[in-house]
Amino acid sequence: MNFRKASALILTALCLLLLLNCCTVPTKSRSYQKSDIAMGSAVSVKLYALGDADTEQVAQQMITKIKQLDTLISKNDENAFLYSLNQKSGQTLETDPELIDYIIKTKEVYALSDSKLSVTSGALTELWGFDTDNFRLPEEAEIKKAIPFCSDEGLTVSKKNLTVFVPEGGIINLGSVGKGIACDKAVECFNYSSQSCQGAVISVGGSIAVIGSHDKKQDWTVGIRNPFGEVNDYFGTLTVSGTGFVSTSGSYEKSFNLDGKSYHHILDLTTGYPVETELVSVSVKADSGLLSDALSTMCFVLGEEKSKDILNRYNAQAVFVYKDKSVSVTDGIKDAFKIVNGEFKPI
Amino acid sequence: MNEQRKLASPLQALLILLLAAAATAFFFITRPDRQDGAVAVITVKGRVVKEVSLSAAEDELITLDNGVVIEFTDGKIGFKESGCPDKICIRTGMLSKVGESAACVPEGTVISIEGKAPDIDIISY
Repeated sequence: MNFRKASALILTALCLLLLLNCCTVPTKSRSYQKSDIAMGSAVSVKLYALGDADTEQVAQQMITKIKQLDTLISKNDENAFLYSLNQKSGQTLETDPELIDYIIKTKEVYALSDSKLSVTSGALTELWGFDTDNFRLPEEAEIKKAIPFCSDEGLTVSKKNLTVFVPEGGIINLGSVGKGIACDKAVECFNYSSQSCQGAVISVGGSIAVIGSHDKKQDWTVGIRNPFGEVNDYFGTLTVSGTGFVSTSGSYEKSFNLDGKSYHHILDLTTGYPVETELVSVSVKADSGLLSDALSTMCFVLGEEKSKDILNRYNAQAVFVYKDKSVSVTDGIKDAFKIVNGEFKPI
Repeated sequence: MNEQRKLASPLQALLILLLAAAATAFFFITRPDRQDGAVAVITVKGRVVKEVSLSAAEDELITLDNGVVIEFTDGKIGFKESGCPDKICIRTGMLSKVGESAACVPEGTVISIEGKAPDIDIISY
């Protein structure tokens, strides 16, 4: 074989190699994952894409958006819009349209809670130190004094004028919906991205959003945390098709013990004390992160019976977990939810 | 010459086939893929500072610049020491499955196990 023929052969081989690389890569889904800390919690985003979509770019955009949200809705960050709003309670103030939107939507949901929850809950949550992780048991007199400042009755929000009036002494707290709103922002990023990714999984401190699909299977599997275990321990799984939002509220999160009594962070604003309930956690699947966050808190506070109509109204589903490890789920997810830990029993 | 008009002799055809096979093998070998092994990715303030393959044979104690100590033993990884007040990161325990993660929020540090085909995609907590 002469030199020319040999080079022709090598060339053929190289062409084949190129061809193979070109044809094979796009049929396989790639994934890219990024973790960070934002909104006082762990954030992770995982992107799936076919073809040459820049998953890294989308992941970075999502994280950036979530971090920006902190400077809008944080109650404790001095640079945040919400912080300055709270500093000037008793005045009608013009503010950011997005912030107005979050306040209106959250207020609307909590209006169904028989005054047990509100947007203006800051006076009590600050008293207990739940916003700053400096937990303390307040004096009864302090609690009685703070309760009237936690009502949404005097809170006036105008979408048209972009103004908010917080009654004097009132403190708006979007902490119970912040992580869900962050999920909404990430999904928005995904939907408006110039990169055509195929699917994504987002977690902001345990509030979850899933979008689109994987390569191999169409559905997503979301684990529901074992309320008696640590973060990575799940007792059940919920199958979600396409886009969905899942949030969990539980008494295991942000709690402290004092003189043999346990205090958790979900307050009943009519009593000023942590809600007394047989529930240990409630997970809610809804159409937005704000809703899944707000509704999981509300279902925990109201209990299963009173929650049903409200869940229906928002086309949402829920998993209720009780202290005796019995588990109840709403009809809409009976088939999608599975218990994977034998200690838990369906009701 | 007659010989020159032939496209390829049987020997040459065989050589082409062999080279094609080699090219295919080369492609599959060099293709970047994490399919076979879960990897623990450690990030501080959003930046990846270290990756540890969970199939690595050697145990390791990793001290990060922020003083956080991470332990890798028997294919499992977790927080061992941290200057944070609540120690939630250490309580989370050792991670070994794809999809698991542990975070130390005060120190800005996250360990997450990445890889293919997890049993679940994510956990709501």
